[in-house]
Amino acid sequence: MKKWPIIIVVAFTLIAVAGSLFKKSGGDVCALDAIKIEPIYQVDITPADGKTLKFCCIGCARKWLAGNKGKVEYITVTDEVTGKRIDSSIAYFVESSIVTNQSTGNRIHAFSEKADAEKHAKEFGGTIIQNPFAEP
Amino acid sequence: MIINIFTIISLFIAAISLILGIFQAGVSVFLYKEWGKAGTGEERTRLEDFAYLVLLIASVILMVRLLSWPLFYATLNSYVSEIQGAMCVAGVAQIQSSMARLLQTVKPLVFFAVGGWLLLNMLDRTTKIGPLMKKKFLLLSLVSLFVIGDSLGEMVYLFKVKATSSVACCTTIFDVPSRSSALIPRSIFGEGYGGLMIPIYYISNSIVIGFLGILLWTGGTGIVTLSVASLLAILNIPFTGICALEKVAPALMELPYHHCLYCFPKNVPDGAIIITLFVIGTFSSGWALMLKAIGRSPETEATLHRYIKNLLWLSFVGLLSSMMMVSVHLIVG
Repeated sequence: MKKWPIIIVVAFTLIAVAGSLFKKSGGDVCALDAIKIEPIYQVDITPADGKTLKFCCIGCARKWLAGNKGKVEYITVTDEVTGKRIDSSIAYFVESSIVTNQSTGNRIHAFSEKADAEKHAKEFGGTIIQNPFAEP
Repeated sequence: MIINIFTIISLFIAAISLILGIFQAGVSVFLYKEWGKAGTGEERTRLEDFAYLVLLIASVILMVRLLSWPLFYATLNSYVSEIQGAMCVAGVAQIQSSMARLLQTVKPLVFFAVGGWLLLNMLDRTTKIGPLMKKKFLLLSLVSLFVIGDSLGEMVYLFKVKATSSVACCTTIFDVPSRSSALIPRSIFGEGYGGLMIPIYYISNSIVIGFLGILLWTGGTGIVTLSVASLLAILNIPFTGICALEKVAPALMELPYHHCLYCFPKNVPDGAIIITLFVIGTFSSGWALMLKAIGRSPETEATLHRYIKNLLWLSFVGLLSSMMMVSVHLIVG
């Protein structure tokens, strides 16, 4: 029996173990398009039957929701002023000229205080919009 | 055209390959016709010297050409930050999409043909009289045509990719419900196909690995058994591809809704190794069959058997290692 095939298979298996551990130490990536998540724009969606999914922006979260209607327990967004996670149903949303993510082109921002939302809208030519996750 | 170090290296290799490919194609046809013809001793010596020079040049160029496949993806990857909307190679490949698709189809074929020719050349060089010379020149002329087409296509493509291009992200291609990788299994197994993808991946790969194991155990290197091994390896490609797109890659990336294989090496540190091992494992059984079919002669008999056995081992180890690595990721998570 040759030894080198066993050595090679074991070596690659160990590389995979190292790869798995290295992957765990990396930062979060968007569940939809796999780009790195900026914590200030993070959106979390908790489906009724699964673990929480993290998205890089409101745009990606909406795209995911479009294909998974009726499967969501709750959605949290990040307040851009404090960085705190808040339930999307009590957040204020502004669509402005500021792009949160060049790749997705998302322009919707989330705030926990109405005053902060209005300030952002005034400064960056935006308007306060309805909850983008609310079902019509 | 986007100019960076990858573009320059790719264009340089493509240009050299193109020029020498044209030279090789012409010369190899000439040598195929002239080889073995009667002539004076001096004429034969001159022809042999010329032939060995051509083979040396061909070996070097073709070895470099083998690298052009991974280099092509590295070049496309280097364009991601330059093109608006692109988040991975899938985005870049949308520019001149039909040409990008053609190149992505041709490159594996070139890799296989070039690898096969280099192995045949190695086999022939182990003999004293070079019994495979004529076959080598004939095959070299065909391989050169592949190389010319690939090099020319790559150069034109790289010149046509513009930094001002704007594309959609890979989610609009791979994550839509109407993606072909989902439509096929859905039409066969129904809506619950997702749960079958990982078992099918293991069954398909295990069949190929098991058959290769039996061949190695029994020492079977006949043309029929090698054809079956190659056929199984080829059939394994679409099965593994669909399972990888639908379940294996999303599970390994820990992105259950993202089905982009181009994002796979970016999100799994050893993802490129997993793919490379699968490719080597698949191609090796094909190379074994190719050597058996073309490399047979009384002078090569003993060496040929050893080469085929080693290629079968390479195929076995490559596919098994790839599957083991996937298993580790699925278990460790």
